[in-house]
Amino acid sequence: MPTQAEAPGIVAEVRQRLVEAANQGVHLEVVRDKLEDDWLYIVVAPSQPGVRALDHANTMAKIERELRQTGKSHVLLVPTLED
Amino acid sequence: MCHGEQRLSCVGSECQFALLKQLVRSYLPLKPPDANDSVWSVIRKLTGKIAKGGRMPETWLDVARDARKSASSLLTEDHNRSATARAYYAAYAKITHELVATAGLPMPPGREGPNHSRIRSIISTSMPNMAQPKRDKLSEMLGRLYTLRIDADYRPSSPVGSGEARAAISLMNTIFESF
Repeated sequence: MPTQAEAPGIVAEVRQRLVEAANQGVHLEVVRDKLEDDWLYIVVAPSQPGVRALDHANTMAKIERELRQTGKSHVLLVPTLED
Repeated sequence: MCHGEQRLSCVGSECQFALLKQLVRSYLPLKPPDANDSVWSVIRKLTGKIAKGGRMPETWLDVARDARKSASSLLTEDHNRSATARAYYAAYAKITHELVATAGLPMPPGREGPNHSRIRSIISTSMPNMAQPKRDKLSEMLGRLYTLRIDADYRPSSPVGSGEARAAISLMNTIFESF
């Protein structure tokens, strides 16, 4: 599970992957992150209008899965933290 | 007037049921002089039956099934954003039922279900009768549904068409069938 010290590095990695996604036409950005109860929540939203919901959802799931596969568990990419 | 437990058996036809609804409604505002009187036992039972007859959900599983049905109907009527939102909610309710009814997890104060943004961490750590890889998969599917739902409900600038709605229904059905 991520520590306070590790969180900025993980967020930076997500940002880098979002740059790669933007190169393929899916424009998303990190708008917030929060470490809570040993989980790192990273809020990812469209950075411009017109991003298909399915592209948004699939890109987030893909990045999250890749993070998990490289040992970065307890990281969740979410569309909002509001309920 | 039905005043005995044995008369409950007459609750069969629509007509009799409507009459009994009236009977219950006329009694509901009253304070029972004797709560042990058999008529109050009948009223308590009828109140429950009216809730079922009126299709009022009583458990998270009822909510889940109702939302699933709605999601499928909305898809056939091309209400893509609404179908997507209902599909997420159906999956959320189905998982919440499992967390509450099977695992017996306590919910946050003042709520009957987990926060939408936190439910995935609960799935990953506490989903009952499920190995970790399946928990991770379930969490991922609900995460995709949640993103679709947020875009459908709160981001009009994000296109949500039949492709999104069909994907949402498919994820919902997979979740329903996975436990």
